[in-house]
Amino acid sequence: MTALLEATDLGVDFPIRSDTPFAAPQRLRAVDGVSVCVGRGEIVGVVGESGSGKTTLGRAILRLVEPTRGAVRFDGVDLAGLSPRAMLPIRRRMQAVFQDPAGSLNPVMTVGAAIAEPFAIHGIGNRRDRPGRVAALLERVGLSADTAAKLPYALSGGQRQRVGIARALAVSPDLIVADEAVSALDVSVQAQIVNLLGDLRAELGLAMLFIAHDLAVVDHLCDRVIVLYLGRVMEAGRTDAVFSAPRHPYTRALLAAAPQIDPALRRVPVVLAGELPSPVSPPSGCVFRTRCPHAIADCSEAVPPLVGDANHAAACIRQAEIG
Amino acid sequence: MTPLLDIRGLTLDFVDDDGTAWRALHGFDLAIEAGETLALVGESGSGKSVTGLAIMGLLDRRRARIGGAIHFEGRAGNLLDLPSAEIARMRGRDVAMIFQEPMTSLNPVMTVARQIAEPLRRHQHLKGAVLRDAVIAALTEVGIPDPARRAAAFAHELSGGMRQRVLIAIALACNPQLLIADEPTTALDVTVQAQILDLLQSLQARRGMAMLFISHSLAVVAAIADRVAVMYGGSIVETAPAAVLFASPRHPYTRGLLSSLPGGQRGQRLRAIPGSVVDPRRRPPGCVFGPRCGHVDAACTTGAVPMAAVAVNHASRCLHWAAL
Repeated sequence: MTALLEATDLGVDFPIRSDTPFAAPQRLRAVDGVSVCVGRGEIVGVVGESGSGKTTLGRAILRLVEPTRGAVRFDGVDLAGLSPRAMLPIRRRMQAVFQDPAGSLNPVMTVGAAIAEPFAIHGIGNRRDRPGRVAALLERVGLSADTAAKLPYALSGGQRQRVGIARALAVSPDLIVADEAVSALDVSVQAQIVNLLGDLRAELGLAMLFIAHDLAVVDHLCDRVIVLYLGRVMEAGRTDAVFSAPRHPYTRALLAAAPQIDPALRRVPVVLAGELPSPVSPPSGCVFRTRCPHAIADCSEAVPPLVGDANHAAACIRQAEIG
Repeated sequence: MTPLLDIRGLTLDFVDDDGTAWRALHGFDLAIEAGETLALVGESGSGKSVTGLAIMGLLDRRRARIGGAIHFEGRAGNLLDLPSAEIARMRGRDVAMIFQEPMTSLNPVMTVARQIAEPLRRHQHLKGAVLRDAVIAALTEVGIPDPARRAAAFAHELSGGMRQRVLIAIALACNPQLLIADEPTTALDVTVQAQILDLLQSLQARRGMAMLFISHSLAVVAAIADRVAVMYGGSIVETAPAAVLFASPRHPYTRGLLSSLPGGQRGQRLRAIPGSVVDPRRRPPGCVFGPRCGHVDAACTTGAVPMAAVAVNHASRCLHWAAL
């Protein structure tokens, strides 16, 4: 059986304008050699700090930015080079939910009109059955039907995010790319939205690429996870395997740095020196080596491949010794 | 022993353009002992940031009417009655503040050195080589590598973590007794957040400084606080030593917040608090958490709920705390 979404060796470069006229053009490698698979009904987490390339990866998969290298296959169809017209039926099947629900809703469009817009774009149903469809979607995401007449400013942050999810669901997609979809929400409301996403997967068989920096939410919601650093995959595998027995020094540092309420769960902190290097001139070999407490001379020689199996793999040449 | 900072019955009313007023803080007491870290934790709109600004005297007096009393260091006078010139003399010298977004708190057209020198010049009247040495020492103390070179940098040349270190250096330049830190690590990545929390704790231990740490994150608060005050809808609803609060919370809101955090069984539903965060302009009568609470009854909705003593140093604004 083919996976619903299969991104292979994906790379995205952004050209950078140089300060001096005759200098060679520079390229920023936002994403480099990333492969990720999402099966039907599966939730795959993408974690990493700012600058890790997680948002660009999501946008490249949705073809909101054009990948520089690699391939994206959706339900067996290679998306590269598809015309906008040929993309349209595929866009219906993959939808996006963004972090800031206030910024992704048109402030002068009622909630009902925003949710009904995809019906017109994709020619679903007719004008008369739209109010009924909108009401059903609002109910599905836990909002009352009279919300349809409201404007976004009249809603709370949690309600706006529910509208964003309802709009993504309007076209009955198979995959949702959720980019920091719960990050801007208050804790008590965040839990409601996490529950809603879990319910949608269970009831509609929805698959998700869940991009987040909050490790606890990813641990809770995702079946599998990939850990990105400076545009590359450091570790990938089943969430329980990666989070309970991390193999890559970066994953370990990330988990150890996350504050814990339960004193029993606190780990010995791994203090990472410094901050993320510039993606314009990433370190040679392993991109994490400049901050890694285990780095040796060999780490600068070649880009370490992901070693392991589908359940758990890490891109570290010393993973066996430091374990 | 008198506490370092003693807040009594603090109220805050904001006046809108049309002259109508609405209450953002609903009268609470809060005390900070010398050298301790008190965390103020709450969701958006709970009033935690305006509490910090009220202490610093940074609210516009034409728009914000503050009531109650704030005493600092056992001095006779109420800070709220002091003339603004007197408050300005205290800011940066006795009490200093750092904020969430260091980029907007730093002056973009002034070098790091000039911004650190400002409080030293103003309060300690340092000049020349002594001032320059004090600036370099301040940068060194907050762990900035190559401080002599960084002193000449502008904010845009620094990373987020470095900017926050500079902000801490400015705040601590004159050795204040109290640091108010408003979400100081929220804009930072988790590995950098760990570095900054570590830095704040070691500076505090070295100087014996007290800290009011304002945060929305229970996990960060658990890592840094001695005592915690939980805010909701402009009131403090529970205060307790950190270990006690997280082990045996006695307010339904605190309990709800803790149980809605992920971290239990993977794939199970989280126990979310129903409804949305209270709009401070539409506060319900009686208990502010009543409409979202599973323990609410008629008594909860009739009048303002007072703080009840649960144990020494532990208080809850809930009529039913004993039954929880």
